[in-house]
Amino acid sequence: MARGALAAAVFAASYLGCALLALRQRPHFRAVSAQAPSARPSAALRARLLYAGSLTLVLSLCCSWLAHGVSFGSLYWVLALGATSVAVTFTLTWRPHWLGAVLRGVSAGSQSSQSLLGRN
Amino acid sequence: MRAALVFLRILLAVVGGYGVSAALSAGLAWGLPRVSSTPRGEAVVLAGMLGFVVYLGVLLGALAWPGRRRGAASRPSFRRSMSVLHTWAGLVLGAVLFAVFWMGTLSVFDREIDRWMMPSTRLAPPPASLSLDDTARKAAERLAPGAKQWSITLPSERTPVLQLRYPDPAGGDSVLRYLDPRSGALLSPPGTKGGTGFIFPFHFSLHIAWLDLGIWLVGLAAMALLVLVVSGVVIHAHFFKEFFTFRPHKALTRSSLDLHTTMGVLALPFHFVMPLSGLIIFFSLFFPGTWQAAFQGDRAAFNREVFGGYQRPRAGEPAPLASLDVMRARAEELWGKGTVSSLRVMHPGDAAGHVEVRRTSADQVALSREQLYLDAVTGNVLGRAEGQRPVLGVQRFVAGIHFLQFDDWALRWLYFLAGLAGCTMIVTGFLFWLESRRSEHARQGLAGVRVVEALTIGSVTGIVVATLAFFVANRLLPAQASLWGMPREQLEMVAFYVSWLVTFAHAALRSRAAWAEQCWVIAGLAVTAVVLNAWTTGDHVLRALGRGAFGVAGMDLLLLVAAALAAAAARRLERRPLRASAVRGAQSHLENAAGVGRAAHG
Repeated sequence: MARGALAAAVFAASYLGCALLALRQRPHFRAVSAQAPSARPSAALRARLLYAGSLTLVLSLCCSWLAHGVSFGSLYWVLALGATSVAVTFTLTWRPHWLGAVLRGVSAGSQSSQSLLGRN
Repeated sequence: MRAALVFLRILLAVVGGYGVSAALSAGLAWGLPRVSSTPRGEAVVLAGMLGFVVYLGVLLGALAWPGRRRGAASRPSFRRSMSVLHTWAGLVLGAVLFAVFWMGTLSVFDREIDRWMMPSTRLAPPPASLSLDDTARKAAERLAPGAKQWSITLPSERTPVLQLRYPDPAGGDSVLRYLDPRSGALLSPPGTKGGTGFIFPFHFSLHIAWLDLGIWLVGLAAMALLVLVVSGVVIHAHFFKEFFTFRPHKALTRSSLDLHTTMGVLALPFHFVMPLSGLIIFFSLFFPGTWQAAFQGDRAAFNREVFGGYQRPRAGEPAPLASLDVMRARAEELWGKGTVSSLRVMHPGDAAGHVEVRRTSADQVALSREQLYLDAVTGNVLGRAEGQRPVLGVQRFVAGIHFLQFDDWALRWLYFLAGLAGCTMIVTGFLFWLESRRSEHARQGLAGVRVVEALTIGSVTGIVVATLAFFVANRLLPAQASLWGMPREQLEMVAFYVSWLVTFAHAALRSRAAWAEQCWVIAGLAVTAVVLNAWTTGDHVLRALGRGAFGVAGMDLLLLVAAALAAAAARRLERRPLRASAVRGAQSHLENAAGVGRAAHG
């Protein structure tokens, strides 16, 4: 049971991590936040997205190792990363507003990275 | 003139680069054991694996060097020569690459395809305990009396039958028979090569056995894919800014390029590791100089040291074969319960007979090379394949990543999806090439787009049509079918190749309309295959699910999904014929396109 939950967490964290990294880019940020075409993420927000995204991906790798061991876990993580990043791409193409909550979560977080992670 | 120069340069790089890397790897395999304490086998494996890295370096260096005429090696011109390289390698070997990717993707489920194509082997999961002495051994002694050797592969979840292989008494290839593991009864011959016998070997050999030409061609395509991945990253570097972007509503050049880079970049580790590991599996074939130099051309000695094996000559005195079940239990004491995958009996019935027991790879990434050798008469242990070989361990691990022999359904599906991503990457690469040149070729009266489009359609939708025709023929042909001396299994393959040829001819005749028409054929054949399976075997999806034949049900469901996707694609293609004007607009986005186009026109 715990192993199944960890295995699911690999995909969830990998998807979230890719989404956070994607939101650093202007077109995706605009599409998700439904702001004016000139809007761009602030430097502070971009930095926060980078840290949160990278940490979430590392978390995903750790979950994968815990669930499947190092050799199978690494294989899982690489393939899951590919699958979820394509899923993020398609979300941004057809349902960008789904990621609105992710963006709001990161934007509303305080400057401290601790609470930022708490929200994610 | 320009095209001839480009061709000459590619030929020189491919042949010369191979010569350089083969010489270097042979030198390393010969020299390393002489200057260090490295065992010969380890040196050969190391040299063989490094050979591909050297070859890739030489190919990239020789093909992508911008050359003097275009001035200093500034970044844009480096990127442009990479772009020319990417275009040419993709154009020339894209069709082979698609065939390899398609068959490789299907091979992920080769045993499930076997169950679907061989209804007599759709048995319940194998029993927890079974006696080899009462089942396979009796069959072997009856079917292959006096054979030099025979082997038994134990049943597994995905292959719930016992497999018995023995030399053909008539002198042909070895014979493979399936047995019910419960009763030991021989199952009727399936009359098909199935997924493991046709689709999987197609993946690495294209079924061209003459001079191993097929394997060499696939090896060349794998090298080309490595070159394509590296050059692709260089030329699409500015697309990293637009990561995670797919714009299906824009012009076809734009949307196909989006999809090409998305599928290429996001599954990049897969697209790099698969060709490289595939080459590494065949290192001793592609770089024979390595083992010839280190073992003075003694192939058997090389095989024995690297892959293990035990040999002793026949004694000529009869002696009874001891219990195989006891030998299997002895190996399981060593490796753990349920870990034996196969047993091979050499010189059965002879006093010098011996048995080779192999361990399964189901519970590890690396391909297992654990073997135990036992005396066939006394059952005493004669030896085992030695452990501790770090370099060989790496090779087995890399090969294991490629072979996917472990039991893990989630990983199996992820491999399948990654394979489909690879197929998508190749198709969209072709589409981009076609769409960014279509109007210009039409204006100049060039045949390039027409020819490439026919080849693309034949090698993309065509191979899917051919595969489905193979499945349909499997369900339509009567059990004893034969024609002009060809047995049933060959007739299925004829159905594959003939329908593939027809799709090329159709594509040449119908040009662009062939995309939609072949999509309709795919949808029709896929549904037909599902209906025929239900009609001829009674295992429709619900019944198969109900009796736990998940492989059969899964295959039917995937066929239905494929039919739905193909029908949707065909409808879309017919409803929204592509406009040439929309195509031209996107061209300005691509600084490379013009340069690539000029080079390709020659």
